[in-house]
Amino acid sequence: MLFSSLVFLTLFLPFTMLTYYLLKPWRQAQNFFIFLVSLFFYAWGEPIFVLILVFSIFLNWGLGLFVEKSTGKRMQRRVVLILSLALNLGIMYYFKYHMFTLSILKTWFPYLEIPFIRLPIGISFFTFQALSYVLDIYMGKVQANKNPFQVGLYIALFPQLIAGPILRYETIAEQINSRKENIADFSHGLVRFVMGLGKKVLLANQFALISEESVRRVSYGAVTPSGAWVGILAYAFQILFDFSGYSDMAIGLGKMMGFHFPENFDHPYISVSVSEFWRRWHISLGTWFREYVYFPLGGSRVSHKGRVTFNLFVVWALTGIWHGANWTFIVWGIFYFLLIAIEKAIAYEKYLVANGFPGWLMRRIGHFYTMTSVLVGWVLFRAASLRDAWCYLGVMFQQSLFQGLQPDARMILGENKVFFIAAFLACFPWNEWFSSYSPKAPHWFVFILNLAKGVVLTMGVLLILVLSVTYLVKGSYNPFIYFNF
Amino acid sequence: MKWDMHTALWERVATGVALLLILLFSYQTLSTPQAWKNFYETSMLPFLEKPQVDESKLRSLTSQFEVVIQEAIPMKLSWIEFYGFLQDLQQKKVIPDMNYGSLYKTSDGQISFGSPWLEVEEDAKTLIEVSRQMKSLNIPFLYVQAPYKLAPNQSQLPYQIKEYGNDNANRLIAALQDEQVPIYDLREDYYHQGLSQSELFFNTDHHWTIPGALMATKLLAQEINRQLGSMIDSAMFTEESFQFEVYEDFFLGSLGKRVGVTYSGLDSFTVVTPKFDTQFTVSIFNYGAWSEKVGSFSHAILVSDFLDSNLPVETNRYAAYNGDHEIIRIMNHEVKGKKILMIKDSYGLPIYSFLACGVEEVTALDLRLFRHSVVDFAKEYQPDIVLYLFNADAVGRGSFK
Repeated sequence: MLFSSLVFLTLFLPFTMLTYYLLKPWRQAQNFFIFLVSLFFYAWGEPIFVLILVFSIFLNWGLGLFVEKSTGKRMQRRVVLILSLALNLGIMYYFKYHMFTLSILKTWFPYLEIPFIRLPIGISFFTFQALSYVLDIYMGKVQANKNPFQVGLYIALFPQLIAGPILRYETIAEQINSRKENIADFSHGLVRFVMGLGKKVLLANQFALISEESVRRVSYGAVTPSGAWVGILAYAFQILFDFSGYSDMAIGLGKMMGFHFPENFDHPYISVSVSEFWRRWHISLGTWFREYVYFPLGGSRVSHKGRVTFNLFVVWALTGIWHGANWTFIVWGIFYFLLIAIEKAIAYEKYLVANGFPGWLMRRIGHFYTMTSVLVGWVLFRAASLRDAWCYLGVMFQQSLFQGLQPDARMILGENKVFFIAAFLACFPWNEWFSSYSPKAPHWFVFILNLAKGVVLTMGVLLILVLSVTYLVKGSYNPFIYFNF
Repeated sequence: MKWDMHTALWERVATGVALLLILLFSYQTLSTPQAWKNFYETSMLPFLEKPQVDESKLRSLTSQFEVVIQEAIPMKLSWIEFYGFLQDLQQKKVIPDMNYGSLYKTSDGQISFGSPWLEVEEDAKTLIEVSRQMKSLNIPFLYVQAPYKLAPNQSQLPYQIKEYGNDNANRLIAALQDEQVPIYDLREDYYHQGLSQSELFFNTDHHWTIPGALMATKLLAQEINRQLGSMIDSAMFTEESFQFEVYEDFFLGSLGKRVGVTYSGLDSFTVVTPKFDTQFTVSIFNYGAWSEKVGSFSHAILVSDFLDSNLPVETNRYAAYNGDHEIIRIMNHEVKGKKILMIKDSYGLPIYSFLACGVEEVTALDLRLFRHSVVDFAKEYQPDIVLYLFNADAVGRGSFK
């Protein structure tokens, strides 16, 4: 089920929240109820694959207990851990990578048959969460939970089940039984949900149509270089607001039920380096890889510089592969590995940005370099094949790029000026800036400012809700990119 | 004093109103018993009678449920209107659309879509093969290229956007000409009859207007006579032989529905019926069963239910010309001697209705619904001519199979 759907807004959300708060005196009943509605939420889109989710829950609950029981038995613990990795990653491999592997092997073994295997929605997300549960117990960060439904609640919790943020068990373990719901969290959560809904429906969905049209037109040679740049800029907005909108909705819904999920995005398009971009983009995935891959490999605290580079390579290759079974994702991951490795090698952030001269100029140059790299990266990420990506990049970097805005680019920008302006403004952390601002003005003036802000906030939230419903009723294009991962 | 004071208070105010809106919306959606009853009867009950753990059936059930919600939304048209108003406010000429990619407001103020460039080789192969087989059966064949709403070599779309509907049709026609397939390209003749764009095509729909279709029927009849000798009395398809009843602001076409009346405006709808006496038997085959209707043009062919002024403007008035059926057979009891088999898409509706006035029998197959061999059908039916009549937008989409 999509958050940005009328069935979620009109039925699922009111029913879930009303029942959840009716059960408030009974925490276990609340937890069990959310577990059940989470399974229903998943089964709505995946009526059969929900069984895989249930299997994963019971499997990891059992493995968690096993790991804990093996305390002091080093060998046994390792075996259980390897078993856990093999089973979880094995399921994910089969559904996500088996067809891809066979298609590679077919080059050498042409007689190989490639069966069609459909990808269960969000399998990468819930597999990583399930793995985190066993790994955290293995690392001694948490104790195994004896209640399978509570493990199920952690793995299947509907706000973040399908597209994250990827929770690590240690961050949520305590909240399962001892979270506290209150009006402040509920209202902040609802406002956050509406903001996310607006990002998704009013921005991401509109940019999806523009970017898809660009890709279609490139395929039959009807796009100019500036049109291709605008097209990929639209995709950059689409993926940001699609994914961060979903995260906002997930965090908001969690908060409405008293859960506090970690942030997943922190205005990534204001970054001045690629390394910074990745500290701000899909933070929960980066944290997961850092905790469970990069650090166990030794991270950057190793004697050899070559080893650090190797560790980075492993993380970025895995990041690429995690996103999908296609060479485009692998090349995309390696593209970021190269950029980040170079930035590390020349200590780019430390010297050029932090102490650069003059600072504002270096930041602008850094921002330009970062965004150009990110846009090129999105071409790889968006393309169906490396050939398509190459073709798109070929159009982007044609000589006629320097002839200014061509008709197709003017059309896209002109027609969608409101969306481009709104998207551009939404890339900046206005709230942070305003929150840290203490004007030296008379109290009455600041009071009026606050009043105005309050009215704008209230009206803004309601306007976004009404506009989102308008676009949903109209039945606009409504894809979620990260559902495929 | 910091300037972000009282944020939590305002969030509570916003939450209160937002919750109220959501709950009201929820209540209104649930208070449409007819929609839920339909869902229960058409989707839920058949499933419960034969419950199966079948993914496609379960998925279909959930998607049916979502359709019900979409339809049961309170004041749905007002929401669409508000959407159209927002587009108007932004002075948009290009509206993103789920089905078409984009909808455009043309230089004539009409709503249209543009066709992408499409491969036409497969469609050409299919038509060449059908034509070859008809030839072997001694049945004359004619491919009729119906006009596209956007005329060739004109830039009706904003920002000089290139669309490829006519290009696709041109390439198809060239491929057919190479193989000597008989063709009538109706486009040029249609555009050059001295009618304005809004007289030729609906503003809010992609179809030709009914008077436009009558004119096209006359052109087509003349072409058939040219190719096969005198077969139809083409002189009967004149304005003098028909009466025109205009319903002002009566029709919101399929494209208008996607953007709202505020943005697209409303079309008038002209009902064209013969002034001369007519007597028809119309047989329709749908979902495995035949039904029949006997009477004059206005009673047997025209489906007047679609012209009820009490129905909302978004009613498909165009379907008054006996809408999309798998097979429709119109027997004219006033004329003797000729049979036409027409393979068509929705552009064919008024054409076969008018054409039926000039011959003894017209049978039309809609390839979107007819799943058997056209050649086998023709072999059994033995028409005097097989017409393939398709809009240029259908070219390159495997529409002829």
